[in-house]
Order: sequence, then C-alpha cells, then structure tokens
Amino acid sequence: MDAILKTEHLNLWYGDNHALKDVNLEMPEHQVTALIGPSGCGKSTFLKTLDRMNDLIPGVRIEGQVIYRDRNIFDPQVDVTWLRRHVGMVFQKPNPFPMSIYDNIAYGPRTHGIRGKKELDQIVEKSLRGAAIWDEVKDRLKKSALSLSGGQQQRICIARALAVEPDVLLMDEATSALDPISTSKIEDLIADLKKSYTIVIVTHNMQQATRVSDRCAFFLHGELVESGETEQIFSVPKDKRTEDYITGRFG
Amino acid sequence: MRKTFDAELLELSHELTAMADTAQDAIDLVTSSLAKGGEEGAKSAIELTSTMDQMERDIENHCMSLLMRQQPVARDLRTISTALKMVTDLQRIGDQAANIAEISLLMAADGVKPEVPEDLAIMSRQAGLMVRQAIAAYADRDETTAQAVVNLDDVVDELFVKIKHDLTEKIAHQEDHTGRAVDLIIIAKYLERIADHAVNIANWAIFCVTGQLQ
Repeated sequence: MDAILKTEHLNLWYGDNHALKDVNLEMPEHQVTALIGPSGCGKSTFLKTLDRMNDLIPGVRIEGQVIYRDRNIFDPQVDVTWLRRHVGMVFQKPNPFPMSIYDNIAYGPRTHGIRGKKELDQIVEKSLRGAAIWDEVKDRLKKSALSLSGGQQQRICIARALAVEPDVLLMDEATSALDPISTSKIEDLIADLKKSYTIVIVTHNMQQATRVSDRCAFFLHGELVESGETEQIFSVPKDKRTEDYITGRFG
Repeated sequence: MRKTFDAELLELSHELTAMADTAQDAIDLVTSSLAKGGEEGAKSAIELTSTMDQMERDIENHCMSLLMRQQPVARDLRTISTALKMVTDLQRIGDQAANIAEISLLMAADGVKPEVPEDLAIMSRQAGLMVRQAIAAYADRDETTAQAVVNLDDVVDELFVKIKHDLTEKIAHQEDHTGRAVDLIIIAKYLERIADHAVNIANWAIFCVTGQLQ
C-alpha cells in the first residue's frame, strides 16, 4: 500500500473542544478512501485539515502531522497555494463562481500564471471531459455556470478542481444535494477519476461508501475507530461501534 | 432507532424456527408411523412437508423484501443472506422426509409392518434434533450450539454405517425380506442426508455469527 497522503498523531482543537484525537490514517494512491461517521464525529474537520482549510480559524490548534508525498503540510516552508494546487477540494453544495463555465475552469490555471488562450482552451476542454460534462456544455461555454442544474454545477466544480491538475481530490459530501441520477453520474465519475487521482470522500450515505470506496475510515467523537478495506468494514467490522453505526443502530 | 427492521429480523428467525419445528415433526411422525404400519402417519407427514413449501416461499419473499428495503450490511446482511441459504436446506430436509413417507406408504400398501431397527429410531431422533438445534443456534446467535450440531454429524454417519452393515448381514442370512431391508437402508440414507443438511444450516449459523465461512 503506497500512501500518497497520511496523518500521524493528528490532533485538532477548536478552543477547548478536542475535535480530532490522535488520528493515524494512510490514504493510498489511486484509491478512494471514504470517511464515515455520525454528524460531529470529526470527518469533515479531518478532510479540511488535509487541505489546511481550518488551521487559520481563530482558536484552532493542531498537533501532529499531515504528510503529503513525504512533506509535512504544516511545515512553515510549505506554501498553502502549492498544497491546494496538488490537493483539490469539492464541497457539499455546488459552488461555481458567478461567471461563465469557461472562466470557472480557467480561473485556477490563470491564478497559476497561465495566460495563453490556446493553452487555456485545452485545459478547459480536458478538465470538462475529465468531469464527464464536456458534451453537455461544449456549445455554451460562455454561458453562466449558475444557469446549469445542480448535478451539472457539481461536475463543473469537479472540473474546476481538475483544471490545476491536482494529485488528490477531496470531496465533502459532494452528492448529498443531488438527485439520484446526478449522484450516479458523480459516482461513475469517481470510479473513472481514481485511475488518475487519489480521492478522499466524506459521505453520510453508507451505500455510496460501499459502491465507490476502496477503503473506509470510521470516525466517532473525533477518534478514528476503525479503518480498512471497504468490503471488510461493511461485512465483518472489527469494532462493535463500527457495526452499530453502519447498521443504523445509532447516528 | 431501527425498531421496524429489528422486529422484522426477529420475525424472520421466528419463521425459520417454525419451519424447522415442522421439519422435526415430519421426521418424528414418519419414523414412528413406519414402526406402527398403516398410512395415516405417513400421509400426515407428507401434508406437513407440503406446508413447508409455502413456508419456504414466504421466507424467501420476506428476505427479498428486506434486502430491497433495508439494503443491509455487516451482521444484518449475514442474517438475511444466511436465512436465504438455510431455507433451501430446510426445504431439502422436507423433501427427504416426504421420500421416507412415500416408502412407508408403499410398505403399508403391501401390508408390511417392518421391524424397525432401534438404531434407525435413534438416528431419526438425532437428525430431527440436529435440524431444530441448528436453527436455534441461528436464532440465538449461538456458535457453541452450532458447532455441537456440526460435531454430531459423525455420530449419525456411524449409525448409518452400522444400520447398513446390520441389514446387509440380515439380507445375507436371509433373515428378513430382502426388499424390506433395502427399503430400510434407503430410509437410513435419507436420514443421513437430513443430518447433512442440518450441518449445512449449522455452518451458516456460524457464518452468521462470525462472518467466517467454514
């Protein structure tokens, strides 16, 4: 198992609230890792920490390490922009920028200094194809991204994340606001994307976790209770708390 | 939480227990009627095994419905999928009991009242008990009882070998009507198969508890 991203003794406090407790988790390359657990268990905090999206919140204190390709992302020499270029994030609610489809995708590459139209055109097409939405929007790239359906908007957000050619894609409940058909498209997309990217998802949908993930990590009260192959977690979990959660006995 | 689902899982284990009870009754009835002669017991046993057909359909439908509605995982998934496997074994047990009843009816039609070896009666009681206990082990999630059923298989196998040997001896010495002795050997074989199905059920009960296939 070759972990591209891993945490070592990761602890996080929001003020006095100990939100992540000594979490050690490896996320192997080209696999989908699903983070599951009841609301408030720390899974979203954990996901955000992988992209350093909460270390500047007042009162947040972090100990331990997040290691991305042998570098601790909290190392003062690590530039957050560099990190986010390699570790992209897709949120629960589709949040395209209020601009054209084209500009949404070109935004990231432009920020990283790419200006040539031809090069941007190529990136936009490649990213939209990668997010399985090119055929649906290729004739209206100048239209506002906000004019698209929720499922399409979410795929635009995935395309926007892909445009900077990241290594890792973090998805925080990326389908929970979508209808079943859009959900199924994104799930198919995740299966395709893992050939090129490493994916970490947070999901409340247990069936989705069994469908899309290779590995699963169960969080409870900020603690990583159990992690392992999804098939094992959902057939013979080792910890009773995992069994009780996935079978709906609490949460 | 999940009151409805738990109640339905409990109902499922009650349904399987009722089917196992019926199987045990059919086995008891058919063996005792064999010794008594006459058709009545055998006919009642055949009726019992046909009610088992309906029980099998009901349990299968219940399992399918639970799979569709609850999309179970972990222990819940094992509880339902093993029920689907066990119900097939129970059904085969019913078929074997019906086969024994058919032979019993033929004997009665010939006016034969066979001398049933004591070992055959023991074997029948043992096989019926194994069926009942295998399902109880599933319902109670009791790995120890399930393992005990698996271990009993050797006892039944030995009884079968002994019955076959004794009856073959009788045939050789022409102490008994040859056709009758062969019928009794076939009945013993059916009982031995019933015990095998009980062992299958016990192995599924163990899988249900541990998640490990034997």
